[in-house]
Amino acid sequence: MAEHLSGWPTGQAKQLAVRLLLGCLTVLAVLTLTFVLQYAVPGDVARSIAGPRATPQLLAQIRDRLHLDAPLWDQYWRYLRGVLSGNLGESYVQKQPVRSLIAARLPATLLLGVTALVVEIALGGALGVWEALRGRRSTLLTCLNTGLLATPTFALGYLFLLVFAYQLAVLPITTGADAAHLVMPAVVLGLSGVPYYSSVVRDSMTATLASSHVRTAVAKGLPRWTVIRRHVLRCALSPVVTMAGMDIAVFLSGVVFVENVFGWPGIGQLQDQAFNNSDRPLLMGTVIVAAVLVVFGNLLADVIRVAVDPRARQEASA
Amino acid sequence: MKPRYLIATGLAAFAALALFALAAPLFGSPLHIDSDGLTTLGLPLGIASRGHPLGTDVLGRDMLARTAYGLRTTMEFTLVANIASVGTGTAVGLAAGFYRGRVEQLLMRLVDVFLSVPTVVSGLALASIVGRGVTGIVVIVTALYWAWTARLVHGEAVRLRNQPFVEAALVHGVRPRTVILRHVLPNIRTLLLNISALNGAAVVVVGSGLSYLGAGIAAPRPELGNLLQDGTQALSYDPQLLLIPMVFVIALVLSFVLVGEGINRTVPESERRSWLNI
Repeated sequence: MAEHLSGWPTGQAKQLAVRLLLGCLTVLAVLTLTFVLQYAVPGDVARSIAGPRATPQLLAQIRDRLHLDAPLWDQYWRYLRGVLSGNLGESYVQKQPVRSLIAARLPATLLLGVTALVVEIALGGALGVWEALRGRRSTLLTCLNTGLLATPTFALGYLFLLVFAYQLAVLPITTGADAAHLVMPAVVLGLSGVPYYSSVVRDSMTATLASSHVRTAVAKGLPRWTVIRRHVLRCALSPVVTMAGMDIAVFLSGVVFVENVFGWPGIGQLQDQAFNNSDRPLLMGTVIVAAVLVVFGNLLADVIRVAVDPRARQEASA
Repeated sequence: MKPRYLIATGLAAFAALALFALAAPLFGSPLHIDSDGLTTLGLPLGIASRGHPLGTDVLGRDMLARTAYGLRTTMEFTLVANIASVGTGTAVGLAAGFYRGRVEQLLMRLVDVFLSVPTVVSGLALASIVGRGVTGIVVIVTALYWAWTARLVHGEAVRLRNQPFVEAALVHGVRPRTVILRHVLPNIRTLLLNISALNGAAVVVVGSGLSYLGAGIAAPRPELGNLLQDGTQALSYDPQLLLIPMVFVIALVLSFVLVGEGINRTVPESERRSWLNI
């Protein structure tokens, strides 16, 4: 990676550094917000841990252990240091470190997210390319896109459950974590992103089809599909990468519903449980992890875009 | 499809839903448990039963009344939260666009922060603090969605502040506030309508979604999301309990999406043509 960086124009590396710094600031701001939400709200933290019938001794013990009597600034500093060294606190209910609880669930959610991304790009991309090559809007695709946009993820999930698991009985109704159980959540999560991808791909393709380098390629007599493959698709790829980076935020919202509907054991389910148990450290821990994933996902998308798209490189160094 | 048909269809659907929600008291109480509300086996009544056009729920309460009141709650928080979030976002976006320098930097960094927290995740975290109910939903949705409007409005404000007519007004010594009110706002009217439509769709999805998860409108008060949650209990034997609220959620979101899509398409598409088909 370092060799790559040194090979790039300096403007590029500088811009990347600025974005990295801004990303870190964003994470810091999210940490501050979660701290404020956790500690500075009315209500006794010790009591919310120990429950309404706790003895004064127990409350005092908890306050002492969590330094709840220290000044707010001191607590904030302690909190920041803790989070930065990887300590997200301990779950009130499960009595385990939040970090290991999240780490145990992360792979399942990543698997779900990656599969959904494949579904989304394949389906959305194909539909977008088709509509762009067609040259005018397709009523069928408009209906499909509007329908998908109007169907919340949880509603789509239950429709799938009703049709494929109950009526047709081709997919499992039980909960589990194997391939057969992955199909429905991944397809539902992917489908909810299809309208965005198909319209981004269509717009980007339409713009590329009208550009002068495509005119040249057509004029020198290249076969239709060579033009599309070599001169149009590659050009139209760049916004898709940016979009995929932004998708992390969308997916992390979507998985809460999808995992709830299909019982997929990932982070979304963990969040749902944490909310129902009023388990604040776990809830805030998932918010922090989600924000970090989003910020660095966007950064990664930028790096990839610059790597695959020479225009982005010029843009940045200009 | 012509844009004006899309907008008209969306508005008509919205008006029909609003009428149904307003007429909710005509259908009786959503909480009343009817003595013959269940079959002799103790199962909910199906659609088109006598006295209960949409059947009853697992406790024997009238689904028509519950759905109408549920829709009413959903529309209530949607309207308030939509106005609050689009309003906040517009104010921030315009301020950032016209008071340049530190203010702009600070506000837009704040927008970045809010854009980088996934909505439902932080919605759950916020819900554990602000509590349940319409006010809670409005606070959560406003906190989560103002930044989207702010970013779009800021982009448009930056474009407009370099336009000759805005520069001329500023050079003549017109106060920025007056310039914004008189010259900028009328120019971003279409954008704001478009944002409100799409934002409205998002508000319905997130608000009813949080209620579905148990984080929004709480149980005795019917809301489309928590009706849907109730319906999931009867998934295997009476799926209509799930499907009825689902149809209404989708219809409500659809009315917003259609208006948004219609407005989108009134913006003239570029005259560019593909070189492939010549």
